[in-house]
Amino acid sequence: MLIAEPKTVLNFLSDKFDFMLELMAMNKNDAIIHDEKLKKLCQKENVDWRKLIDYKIIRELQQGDFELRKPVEIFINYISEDYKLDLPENIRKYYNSIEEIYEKLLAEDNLQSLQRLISGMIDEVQHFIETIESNTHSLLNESKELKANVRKIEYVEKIKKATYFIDFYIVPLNKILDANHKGSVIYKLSLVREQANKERIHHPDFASRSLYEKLYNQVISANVELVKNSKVLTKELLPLLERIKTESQILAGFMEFLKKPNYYDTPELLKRTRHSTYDPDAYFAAKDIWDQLVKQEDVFVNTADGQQELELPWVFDRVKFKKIITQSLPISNYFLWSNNLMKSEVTKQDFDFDKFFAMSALIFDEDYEIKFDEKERVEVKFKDLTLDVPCLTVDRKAKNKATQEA
Amino acid sequence: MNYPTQHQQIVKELLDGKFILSQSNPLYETIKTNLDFYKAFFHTSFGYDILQKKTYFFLTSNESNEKFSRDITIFVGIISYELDNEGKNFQDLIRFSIFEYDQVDVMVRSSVYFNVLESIDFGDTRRFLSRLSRINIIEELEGDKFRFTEAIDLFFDFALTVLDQKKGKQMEKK
Repeated sequence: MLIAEPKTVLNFLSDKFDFMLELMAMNKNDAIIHDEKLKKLCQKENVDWRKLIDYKIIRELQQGDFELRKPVEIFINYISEDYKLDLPENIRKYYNSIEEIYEKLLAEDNLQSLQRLISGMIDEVQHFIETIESNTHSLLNESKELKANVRKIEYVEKIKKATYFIDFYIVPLNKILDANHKGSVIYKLSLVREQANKERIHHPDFASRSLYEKLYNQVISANVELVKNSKVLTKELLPLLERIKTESQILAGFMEFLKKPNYYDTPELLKRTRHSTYDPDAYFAAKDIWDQLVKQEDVFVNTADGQQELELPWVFDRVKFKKIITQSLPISNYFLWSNNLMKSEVTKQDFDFDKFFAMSALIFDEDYEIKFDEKERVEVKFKDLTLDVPCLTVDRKAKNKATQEA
Repeated sequence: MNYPTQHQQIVKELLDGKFILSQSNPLYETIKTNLDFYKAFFHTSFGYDILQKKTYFFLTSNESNEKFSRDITIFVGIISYELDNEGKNFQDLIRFSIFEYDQVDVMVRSSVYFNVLESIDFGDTRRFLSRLSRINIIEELEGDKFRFTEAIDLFFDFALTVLDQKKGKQMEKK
């Protein structure tokens, strides 16, 4: 029983509306209102906590904590447009209740019972519409909040939340509102509308006709509201959530990439190439080459009697001499050895300093090992020059030697 | 042999690394009609592959040692992040709206990710954007303005694959 006058309770709610909102938030966050928290809040706002029980705003629980009474919660939520999302199951239950009342309506002969059923149906439809409206409104708010990311949640979390809203609320709500689906509430309401339309004209009892008329109008306006909400769900909410989901996925991908920009292979584009298939000078370039090929003049070497035979320049054959060195290993006095070798190889020219230098370069190869004694030296003579060089012993490197022996 | 119309221009633009976009572009239609020919042509002549996305064509080569793609991805990632941070629908904005050079310059330079941009060959924003313009990723407009072209989708798609790869790796760990 309400101890206080309704007007007193309303005045209290009005005066202490901010306090009520804090109380609501407390109840929403913890599912109950902890005794300690309640008394702290009451003290801060200068409210006698016992009044809250007297005014039937809260109910004391067994363990000493409290909970907000449902009608108060619904009322405050309603006027502040802060709705809690209902479970789809809680919405789907209207299908059963509407169907049950509808079946009874068809079979009921007793006028008094019939009128109670019609009134009951009107109430149920109204509750259903309000539930859909408040849920759509909540989902829109939640989605917009998610889009603006006021809580600064991670992109991956955003994807999860958007997916959750879609899968857990939007898809089931759409099924409930799908007029083509026989299991939907909206389909059931169309049957109620047909029945009400028929009976509002043909029912023999005037009071029942009036009630059917009210039900008919109620269902018609319910239909308009449901179509409106359905449009919000499919045209506004679903695309918004899908966009949040995709955008968050893209951003989560970019964030991951920006963390490790060299880790992922980016799209393969083509580096600008220099070659041109259509070089405007291609014709002239090709003509030049062609001319050289077809008009090349013969070169004659005159070796007629009385003229000295043409001497071709001697070219140092690196590969040939390296092969000879390798075959002659170990070589005990390399410079002397190469001097003798050159004398036999180079028949028409002297073993000059350049050739000596070319031969010397060959042994500084990774394949060879060079040893020498500083005291032992040898003289290598050229036409205008005598070189005093150490006696080098050249052999295969130990590793190569082992490989060859194996 | 008869070559398709504007063959020379198609080859030149694609070899220049340009995206050939669908928007009222006869080159796009020519490639679309002769796609098999162009696939064979580029593959046989240059070893490149021509890729067709929803609304554009471009050439790709896995041997091109190309770094610009990484630079563009970093740039687009930063722009997307900053626009989202301002509470805007970055995807729609990047796809459909007009940007000013200075606005983008301020956006990237004040970004928390600017250090990533500094680590690449970014240089001057205007110079970077004109590089994007050369390959048709943006379209330069009058009055120091530009808009992104549909080629930007390549980088959005890439971001989605990064996320998939990351998820795949996390699944492997589990």
